[in-house]
Amino acid sequence: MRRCVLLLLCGTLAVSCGYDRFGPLPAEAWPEVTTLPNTQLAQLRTFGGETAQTVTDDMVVEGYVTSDDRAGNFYRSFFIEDASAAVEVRAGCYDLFRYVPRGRRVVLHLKGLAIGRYDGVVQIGACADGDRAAEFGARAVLDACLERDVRFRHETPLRYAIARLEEPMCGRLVRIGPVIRTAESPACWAVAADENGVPQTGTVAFRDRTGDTVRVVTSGYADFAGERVPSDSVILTGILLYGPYDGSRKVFALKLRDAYDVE
Amino acid sequence: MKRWGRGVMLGVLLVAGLAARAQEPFDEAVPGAPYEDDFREIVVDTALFYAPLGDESSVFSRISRYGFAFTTYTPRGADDRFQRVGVAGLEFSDELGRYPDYGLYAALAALAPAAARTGGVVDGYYSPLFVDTYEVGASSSPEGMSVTCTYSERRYRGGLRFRAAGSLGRGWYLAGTLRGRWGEDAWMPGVFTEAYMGALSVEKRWREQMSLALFLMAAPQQRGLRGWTEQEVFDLTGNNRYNPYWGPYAGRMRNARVRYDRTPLAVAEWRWQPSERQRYRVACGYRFGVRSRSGLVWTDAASPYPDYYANLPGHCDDPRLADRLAELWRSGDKQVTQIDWRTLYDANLFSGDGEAGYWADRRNERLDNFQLALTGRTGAPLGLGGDYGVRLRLDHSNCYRTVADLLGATYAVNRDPFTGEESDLRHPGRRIGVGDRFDYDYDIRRSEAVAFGSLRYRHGRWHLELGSEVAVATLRRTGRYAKQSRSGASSFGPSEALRFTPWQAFAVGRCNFTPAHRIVLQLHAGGYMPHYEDLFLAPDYFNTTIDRPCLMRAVGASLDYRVPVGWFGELQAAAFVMRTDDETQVIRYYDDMYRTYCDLAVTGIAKRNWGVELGFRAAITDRLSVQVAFATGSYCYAADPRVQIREDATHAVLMEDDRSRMKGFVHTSSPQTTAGVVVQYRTASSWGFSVEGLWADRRYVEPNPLRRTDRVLAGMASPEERLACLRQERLPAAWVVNVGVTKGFDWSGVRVFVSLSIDNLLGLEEIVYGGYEQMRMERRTVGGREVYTPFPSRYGYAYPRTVLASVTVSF
Repeated sequence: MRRCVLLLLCGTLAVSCGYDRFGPLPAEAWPEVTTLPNTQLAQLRTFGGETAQTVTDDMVVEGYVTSDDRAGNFYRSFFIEDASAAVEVRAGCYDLFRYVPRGRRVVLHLKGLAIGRYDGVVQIGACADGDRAAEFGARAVLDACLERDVRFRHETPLRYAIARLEEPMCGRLVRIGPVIRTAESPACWAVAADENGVPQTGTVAFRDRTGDTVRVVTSGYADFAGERVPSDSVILTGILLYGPYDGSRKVFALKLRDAYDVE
Repeated sequence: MKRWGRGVMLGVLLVAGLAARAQEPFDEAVPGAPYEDDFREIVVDTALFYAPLGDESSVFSRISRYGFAFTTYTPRGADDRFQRVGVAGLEFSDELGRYPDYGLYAALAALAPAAARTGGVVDGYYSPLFVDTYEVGASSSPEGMSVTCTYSERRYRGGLRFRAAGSLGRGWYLAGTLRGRWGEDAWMPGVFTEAYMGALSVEKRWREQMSLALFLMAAPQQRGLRGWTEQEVFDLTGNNRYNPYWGPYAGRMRNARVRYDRTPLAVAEWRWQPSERQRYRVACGYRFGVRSRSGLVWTDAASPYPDYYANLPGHCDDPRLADRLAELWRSGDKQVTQIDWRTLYDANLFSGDGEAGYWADRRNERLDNFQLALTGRTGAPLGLGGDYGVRLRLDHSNCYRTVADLLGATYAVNRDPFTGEESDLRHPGRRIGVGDRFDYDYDIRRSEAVAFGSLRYRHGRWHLELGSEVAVATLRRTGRYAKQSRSGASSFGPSEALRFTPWQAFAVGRCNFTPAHRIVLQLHAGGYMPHYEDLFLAPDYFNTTIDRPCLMRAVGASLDYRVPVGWFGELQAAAFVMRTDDETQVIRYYDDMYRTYCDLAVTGIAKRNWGVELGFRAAITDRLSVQVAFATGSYCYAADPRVQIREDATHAVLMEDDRSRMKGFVHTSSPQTTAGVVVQYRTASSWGFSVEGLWADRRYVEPNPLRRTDRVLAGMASPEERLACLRQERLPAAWVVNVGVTKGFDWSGVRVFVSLSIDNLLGLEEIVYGGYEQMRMERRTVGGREVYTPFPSRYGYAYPRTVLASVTVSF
């Protein structure tokens, strides 16, 4: 009897339970997203206008992420682009580069969401908030309508002269140059900290050979905000916007993703 | 050797094997929005193994020792430094780390005889108040062998314990125990235990005059933890057993907060009694190994914890967003309500260059503790006698953080996860992988030399004891990383040496009118050294200490009276009072008003605890007995402590001297009023039945000193909120009914004892276990002015109905 008990004890104590032993997640945890779009991003431009509108149909769009907030120049949103156009998704979250890194394919189910427009860019948000689409505000809310694929593709920027820029291009990744900073523009991209220590958005104007100008808008929170703008001619890559960046006058502007967008 | 001795030796081999298996690569020495990392865990077990602040034989102590597991509970509301364990004259509970020492307590409880487990006045060697003293000589362990199988629903499922003790002949004695507990908690998801413990005590006696004893213990263990969260989360999930620390992982539950302990202990004791009036003892002990606690790290990324405030609808300004979030929480989608491990992996896998944005880490403490105690005793059991001795203590802890799992990434970088600054300027930009150290690496060394002595006088029914000890202690931090924010001597190299002279003095007088009728008066005073985490502002990173570190002072008294009642009962009454002053506390937190990480130094903390305890025990018949206990008291702050706030990175003083209006607040969430009734019935055929009812009231949420400062009060959004800060949230009264059945019988030549207990028989699921106020505040702009509203408190709930069953076979 005693031997039986001792053997039982030793055998049981020798069992390893492994409650805290985990290997890597299997590849099956990342299936390809097979959902196909039934709408092109260009069609969303017919929505909205002066006020944001709520989508009532089962519209599905896809796009590849073209922006990221790693450098701090994009704030709580990201841009996606397909062959026809681009839109801004007003995520309302931080550190989106970890969630939707540049080049990732995403699929959005738009039913119940709102579409609006701001600075020439079509925006998708959680719901209509007056004239704008409201931010999603939390990843859990965005996850309910966003599928993130394992496929990546880095969109080739559209190459256009400044004179040929049009509002339907807003939101797209464009490449402009060679251009040179205008003499009256600030020497740095933005103000990293003013006399009160508060960052300030900067606007730098660039002119091409034909004399047409485009602005580059940079947040004071961007990690390259305080860097000097090259005085030589450069080629700029960024997201195209159209808004009041010259006083109250609407002009085209680029938003750079990081310092590497300046060649 | 006797057969059972062979069994013990087999167990020793198994212990050695287990200890070897328990070694993992990280044990090898490796030579280097706001970010919230709240590590409060729910510790359900601690009230547990001892009640040194009361006479453990009292009715109240016996009922309260295990009974109040449904609420946070500390005996007499006292600080944990007053709950210590002494082993052969050495102290192993007051170590540099603050983790509860389950393995040591379990080993001592199994091997040491009950008579030795007493605090206060003892018949052994010197034992100061508030120290539960264990003697580890195998000759004093109860002889016999037993095996116990356990089924539990709390923290683990299955357990096995083996215990054996006895004489091997020729003056040799052996006692050993092996224990294993494993399994997942039946009610709290993510909570699990995988714990093993082996302890061995060997003693050689030369007649009655000399003995040499060796005590060895190894207790490798892992425990998945449970966390506190806001009431809104419990409401949204509809589950009071919600645990934010786990998430689904490839079909299993993976807990992000696991506690590990692999700290073996060895104690050697030599005793010599040259005459009836003289006794000497030399004991030395060595504790080594690693304790750690896992967690998650994130940099330039969203918090991975599901109940982070930004993920909760109650913290949303936009009602539409709040509604959507609430809907998602109520849906029970585990990607929303629990840690989404897949998303963490996803962020790393697709980061482009393989750098981790999330990884799992461990916060480690490597122990290297040595103690030596020399004790002498002079005098006969009656008359005048005394103890005297010295104890030397050298504690060394190397505290460091390691990468445990890169979650699909290729590497991480050794930078401050929140600020991005270099963690080690001597090796900037260092890439780290699994097992590598990062963020902090420092040593804490404490050396202490203690001289102690006591005088005893016994005459007839009177017993008087006076005791005191005084120590010279030095504490120093040595940083191994030069932090970018404050390099040089501020972070790297040795700190100034902090010197203290802790002391204690006590007087105990007892009169035994009869063996069952007695009165005991205890007086005590002392100066206690603060824990190093309350001396250094940010010990993980810097050598900076608080201003004017000093000893915590305590003074108190207790009176214990017992008197028989007729032929069938005993009445017990106790009263106590304790006042502590000059206690310090340092809290590292994110300050929403300064919008940066800060160190809050609270000094001049004064507390006053007092209470009365009543107990009545009656043997109604030979088989039926009743015990009734009641205690009430007050555990409050006696004065407003001083508060200083410094920016964590630069140590710039942001607020020099404010007061926290804490006077009158209850300083612990332990109940101030408790009661218990136990009815037990035993039959002639060894059946035992028990029913107990326990009640706890006057419980409060643990207050937060920051909230009562002038600066914060001035920033409150409204007079009502300001007033709310000056009140303390009271938790509802809690009560449970527990039942138990036992049966003892003989079977095939062995004695079998079966027990079954059901706690919280009525299955009450709304019992709040405890709560604490958070440090964070919501910021809003109202009328052009920034105003603040404190975050809701965090709570934990007690277990529902749980079953504990065991079968013990004794040989």
